[in-house]
Amino acid sequence: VSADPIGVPADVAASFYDGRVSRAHDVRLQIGANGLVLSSAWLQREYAWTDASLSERLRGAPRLIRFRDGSHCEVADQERLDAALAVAGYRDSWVARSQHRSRYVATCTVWLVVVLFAIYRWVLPVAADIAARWLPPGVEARLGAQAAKVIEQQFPRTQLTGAQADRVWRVFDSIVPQDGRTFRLVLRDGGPFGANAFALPGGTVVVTDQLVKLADDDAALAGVLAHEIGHVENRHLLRQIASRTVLGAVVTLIGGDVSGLAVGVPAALANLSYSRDMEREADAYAVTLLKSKGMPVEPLAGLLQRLRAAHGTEEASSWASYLRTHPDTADRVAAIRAAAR
Amino acid sequence: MPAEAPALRSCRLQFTGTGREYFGIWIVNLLLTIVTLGVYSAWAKVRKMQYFYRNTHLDGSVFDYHGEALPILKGRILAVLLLVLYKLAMTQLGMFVVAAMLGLMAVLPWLLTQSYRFRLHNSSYRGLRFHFSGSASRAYLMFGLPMLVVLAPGALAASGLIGTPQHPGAKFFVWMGIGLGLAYLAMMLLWPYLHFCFKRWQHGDALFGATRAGFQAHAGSFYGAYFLAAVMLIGGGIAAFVSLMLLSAGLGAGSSGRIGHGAAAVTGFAAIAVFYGALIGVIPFVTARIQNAVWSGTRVGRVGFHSDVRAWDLIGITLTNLLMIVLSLGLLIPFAAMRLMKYKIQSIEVLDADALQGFEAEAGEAAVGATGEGAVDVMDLDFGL
Repeated sequence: VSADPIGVPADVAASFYDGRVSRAHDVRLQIGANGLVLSSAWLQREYAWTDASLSERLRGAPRLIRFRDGSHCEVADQERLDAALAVAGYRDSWVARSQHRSRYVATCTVWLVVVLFAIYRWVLPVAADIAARWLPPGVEARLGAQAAKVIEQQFPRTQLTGAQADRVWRVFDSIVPQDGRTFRLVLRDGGPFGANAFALPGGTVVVTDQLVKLADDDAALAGVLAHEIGHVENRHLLRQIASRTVLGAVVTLIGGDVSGLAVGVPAALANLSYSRDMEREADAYAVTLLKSKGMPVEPLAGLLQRLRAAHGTEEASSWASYLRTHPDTADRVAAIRAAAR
Repeated sequence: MPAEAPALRSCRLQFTGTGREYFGIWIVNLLLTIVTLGVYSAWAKVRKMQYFYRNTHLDGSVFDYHGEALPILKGRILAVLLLVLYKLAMTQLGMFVVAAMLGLMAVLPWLLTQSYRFRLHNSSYRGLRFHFSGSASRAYLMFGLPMLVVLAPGALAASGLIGTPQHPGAKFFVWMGIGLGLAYLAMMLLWPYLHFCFKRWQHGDALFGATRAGFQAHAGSFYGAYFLAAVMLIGGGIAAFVSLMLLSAGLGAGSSGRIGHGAAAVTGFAAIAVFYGALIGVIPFVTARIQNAVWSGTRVGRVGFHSDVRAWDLIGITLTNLLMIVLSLGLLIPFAAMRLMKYKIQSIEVLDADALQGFEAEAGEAAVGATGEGAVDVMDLDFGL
């Protein structure tokens, strides 16, 4: 091989391994457009490029040229190799090139943030909704049945008088939607949980005695029940499960390299915002339902404020607002009043 | 009198991966994986493993990773399908759950074996591939027992045996409680030995070329590591419990006699902090002792190893990594990963570096290597062994 007229080195130093013995042989490597020639004092081999594959360029590691017969070369002198490859007309794949250029990496970082935000804000809620709809109703009912069993066992029986219980049943029957879903009402003593109401997938609505007593107005009671029915109708729990699964997968994908230690926390935090969205959705559902039955909306707003007072000082510490499953009561009351107009 | 043996030339593993360079690989991998809904993750894994292996230097040569994306993709699709099936079965009641758990137990050890085999077959150093000859039946013995003990109560509960208190009497629950308690206790006592068996299986049944590795570590060092952890956890647990009690009492008194939501929240956060503190503070002691015991007890032919990981170094790296990650909202994850990897790899030393030259490939191996995968068409499942 003659010396290159434009000063590009004609050959590159490399370590050759024959794939049979773990010993390195120093060789000179000549790189052409069609193939490579390896030569040393006792060894002479030729390979076509079709029998060889070149590893991607890394900064601190030698570049590897692997041959089809199981042997390979390690080239530490990256600059001479680059020059020789350029003359031979070789180019790395676009992925390999973009990984090592700061401008592309910066662009990718920006895109990643944009894509993750878009998924979080718009794609995932919609996808979770679709997944929840797609799941057969039988599965939802069974999930709910399991939870209902636990709650009916854990919470003490209701202490309400017959007349008080009848009032709840009457209000519940007057607003429950006739859409083929079988809704159940369960009355329980709230115990340490106090005034509370919650919905289970499939259509079980649980109300505590303390809440019934707090909601002395029928319209307020109807509002609370409608809010819980809204959770059921919008399949909120299934959507929560679906979005939690996807968020968990994404966070694991991002953080998996370091450790599983801190992975759960960001996923749980991210899910809380969905939880607050769902409360707003259930409030809106309740307002619509109350209006369609010709009931006033204001008692629900009033009840929310009394509930907040009953639950004590939870709003006192502002840092906790990031960790709440429910939006701020004042915001909810304002939204309900605005929707009522 | 035999002459004293000449001093052996020892050589430390070197890792040249940098956070800056890995950041580019990591971010491009993430973006393409998310945009392709996970399909690219198989190619991402190949790029990542290549980066890790090729930056690991030993006595002038580097390691290489030969895994190909398509088998990895197949493995991942299978893993996702299994997971979906499992999750679907878990939403059902009764025998479905038991069947799902038994099914998972039946395939997991086999999958782990295949995964580890794939990993080693696709690793090479100085042109020689590693191999794994460990049998899946040993994996069933090692993993089956703990899985049975851990999963049994869940399976019993889900099958409805516990949920329907009318037919089995109270006696039944007492006996079941005692039985499960004894099983857990036995499991805890057996755990270090099982961990030892697992490492012996991983290291002792590995081959470099045609040379079988040997494993001379003792189960005693595993018991020592776990005993230390138990002592630290019990001591720390008592201290944490006392201080939490004092804390909640103090906060409770401050809010007009009744323990307010604020106090409960603060106590909750403190409990979580203690839990993470225990993980960060205790796990490195176990990791360090076990890595040191495992590598110092491993031999490949004439080549011996020595490992000197120190728990306090690991704790320092873990804490600063955590700080970096939280403050950068995750952007510095690749830097954190490279720091930890560099430390762990560079703490391993090869005692007779000159002996690294003398290994030979398995007979007929060149033919297998020629077609890349050859006989190894197993799927890789990323269990992080």
